[in-house]
Amino acid sequence: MDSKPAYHPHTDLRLARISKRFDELLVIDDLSLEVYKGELCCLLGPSGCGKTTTLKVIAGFLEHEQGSVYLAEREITNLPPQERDVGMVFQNYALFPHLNVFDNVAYGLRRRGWPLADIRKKVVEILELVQLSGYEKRGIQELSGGQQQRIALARALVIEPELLLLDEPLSNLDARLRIRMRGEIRRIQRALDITTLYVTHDQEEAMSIADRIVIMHQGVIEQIGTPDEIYERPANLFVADFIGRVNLLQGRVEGDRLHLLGNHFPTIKKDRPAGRVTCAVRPERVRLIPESRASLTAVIEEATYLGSLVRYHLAAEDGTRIHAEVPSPDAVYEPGQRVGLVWDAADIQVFPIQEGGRGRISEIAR
Amino acid sequence: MSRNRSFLPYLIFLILGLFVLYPIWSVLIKSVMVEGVLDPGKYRALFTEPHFRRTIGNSLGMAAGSSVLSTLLGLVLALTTFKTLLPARRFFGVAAVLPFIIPGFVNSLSYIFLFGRNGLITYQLLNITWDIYSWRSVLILQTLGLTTTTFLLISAVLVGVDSEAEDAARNLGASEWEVLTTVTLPLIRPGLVSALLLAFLRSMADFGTPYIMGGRFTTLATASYTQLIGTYDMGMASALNVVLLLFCLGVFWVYSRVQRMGEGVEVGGENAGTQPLGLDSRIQYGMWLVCMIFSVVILMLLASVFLAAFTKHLGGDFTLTLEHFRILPQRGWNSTRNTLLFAALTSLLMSLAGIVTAYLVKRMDFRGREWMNLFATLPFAIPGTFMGIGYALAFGRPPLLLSGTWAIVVSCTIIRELPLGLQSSASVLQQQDPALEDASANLGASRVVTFFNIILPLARPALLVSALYAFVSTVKTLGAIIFLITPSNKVLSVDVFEATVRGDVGDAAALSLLMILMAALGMAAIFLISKRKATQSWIQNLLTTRTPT
Repeated sequence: MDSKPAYHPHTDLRLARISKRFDELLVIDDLSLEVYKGELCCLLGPSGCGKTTTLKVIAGFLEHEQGSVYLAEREITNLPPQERDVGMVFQNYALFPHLNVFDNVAYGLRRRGWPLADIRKKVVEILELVQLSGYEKRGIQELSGGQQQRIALARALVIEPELLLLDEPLSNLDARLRIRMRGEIRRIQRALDITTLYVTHDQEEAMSIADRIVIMHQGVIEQIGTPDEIYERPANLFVADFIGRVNLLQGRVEGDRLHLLGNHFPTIKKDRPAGRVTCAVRPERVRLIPESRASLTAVIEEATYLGSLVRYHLAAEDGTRIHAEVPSPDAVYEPGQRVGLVWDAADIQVFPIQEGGRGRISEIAR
Repeated sequence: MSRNRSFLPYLIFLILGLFVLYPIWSVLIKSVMVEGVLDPGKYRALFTEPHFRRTIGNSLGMAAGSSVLSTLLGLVLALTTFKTLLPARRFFGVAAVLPFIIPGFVNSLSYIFLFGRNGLITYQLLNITWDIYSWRSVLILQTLGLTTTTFLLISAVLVGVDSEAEDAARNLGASEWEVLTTVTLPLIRPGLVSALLLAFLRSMADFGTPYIMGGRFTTLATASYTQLIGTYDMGMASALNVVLLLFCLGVFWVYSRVQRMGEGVEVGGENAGTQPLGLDSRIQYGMWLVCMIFSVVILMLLASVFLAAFTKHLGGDFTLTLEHFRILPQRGWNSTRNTLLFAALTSLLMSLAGIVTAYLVKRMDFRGREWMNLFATLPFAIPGTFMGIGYALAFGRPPLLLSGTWAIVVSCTIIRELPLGLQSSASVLQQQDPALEDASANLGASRVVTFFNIILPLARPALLVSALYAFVSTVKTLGAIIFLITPSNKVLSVDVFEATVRGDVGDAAALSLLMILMAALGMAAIFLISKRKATQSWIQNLLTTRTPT
């Protein structure tokens, strides 16, 4: 959990102890979050974790029960959506089907009473930024999915909001276009230096685009950190399991020794728990060596060639299943072969087995 | 799609030719032939004689007025019901649908009870006398009656509006009023235009209301009746109806163009739903007041039928009595039986004809497929009086002498409801993957077996709803069959009409109650089915029949 002091000098958006329920269901549970000026922050989590609800609370589409929302040091908790100075890109774009590209983009400027000449100039400018110059007269139905996405972005940005909200903006695009568009969004976000909150359930997308990632699960924040912090030092078992692939192994800590799969490993941190623990090891951190040189061995059950790497399914002596991912040139083992397993002590993440909070027990069972 | 050598297309063409085209042809011929000689005199008279020209103007003006008013009223009701959180909004929705079960001319009857020379409100309460028989009354009553249609049509598109589009507008700084005027209303524009045109069509074709309430105000539909009953001028009646038909076809053509244009714009999607608009409270109060007045008037109209049926003399003697129901055993029994029988037969046979025609049009390949579709949809645009005169002419002489039989009445009502049956079945077939039928054939089922085992079960909810709808509208129908009814095949609607015209309002009210009861049962069944199955879109289809090309 993030335990930074109350106010960061560059905080732009601040959520303070937000709670939201739908009938009996608590969708957001006492959530606090700070997003810094000019950063791109990703809200990442499985579907139903409350990330879109959080976005709608910030935009003012949903009323919440508790907590406050501050933007640029102004409280906007009780402002109607019209007065929040927040731009939003909707998952299905929500472009106005009865208006052409120009009128869609100009919509917000018209509501602000801009003179037509200024509107024209500004729309041309923003269409250039999203690389759709000359599309002013097109109908929305005539645009491809990627173009609609750009127009939705242009429409949200043209009003120069303090904060940009993106709700799974790439989920309706095919895989190739998704990768291109996320680069585009990043480029435009940097060019305008606009504070951005980006909701996604796609961890690769979040990893590639975000300055910081907020992992949400069942209405609470599990961890806030940069992509590599989240991956290398997951705060808990849920994050370790949710981000990337991971081997979850049952072990036991006694004194300064970790017992795992019949082997002893030194523990490197002082604050490790004692007793039964769950250990997380990334498959790519598992190294395979000849059997004769190792104290921990396993039998290869299956080898899957994936191009750049080979994925092995192994069974340890006590029957524990272990996954290993090895770069293709180093992968020289066959199914049925017994091999040695090694990993660095630093690559083992150790979590107490009875950690507080919801859902973690079932995560371990899985 | 497969080319087949079935006799079915020929059979359907024969039926359509005989019961749609032949009557139309008969009216056309009658209007231009005088004793076997071509003579355009009727039309010359129509366009030169001032009172005929006024009649044409009346028809168009009335249709324009009542369609605009009913569309506005329907819009206000739909917005209040689905886009506000005002109290009693559900009640307004129910009130807006209520006129469905009340035949138009029964509304007129109640209106006379309430506002007539001896009316409960105008005379008893306010002690004013005014000439109730004028265009004003026709306009008010048509507007009230047509509002059901416009309300349902507008509601159907309104609940389909993407709530995210409205949120996007708010996010971009639009006030709630601007959300309504720049997003919500433009998105439902196709629905608004459809409602307006459909109301126009129905108003043009309406016969009962202007005949009873119009006084000296005549429309094409009423003039054709007076020409026939008063002066026995079948030629003039035909010519009036031809002109009426031309206007209706013109409107219908525009209507189907609008329908097709509307198909391009996808309204809704997964965010379809109704999110209230936080409109200014003064606007909301205004809307609420309009809805309340409308609902109260509708309820009063309905209540006054009950009151008139159960009191000695409405306006004079409020003693409770059942004496008006004494006519039931004498005359009412036959009419009630006939009404039930005709309506039941109509809904049954129209469903059958509808699904067979839909199947041919959607799934088979034969020459003239488009024509079949057009001919079967045409009756939707043909005014009732035109159909009535057409049937009277076509089947009032050899070789197909049917006058005075129940067959002439039922065939007319079936053909009038056929477009609905075709449309609802066609929309089911449209949504259904033809691969299901291919799979059935692949597993060894013949075409007939597939029809009964695959298509019919899937289309059943839609068929049931359209059959019930046809039942209700046959119970209420007057304009078409008034030309075909003889003492041997009386129905309730004609009895009520005649009693009203005679001035036996108590009897008329008692008989009306029976009709309302039947129609209400039919409607209740429709709502029960709609609640259970996802038939909302089919109900919408019933109201938005078009020529699919």
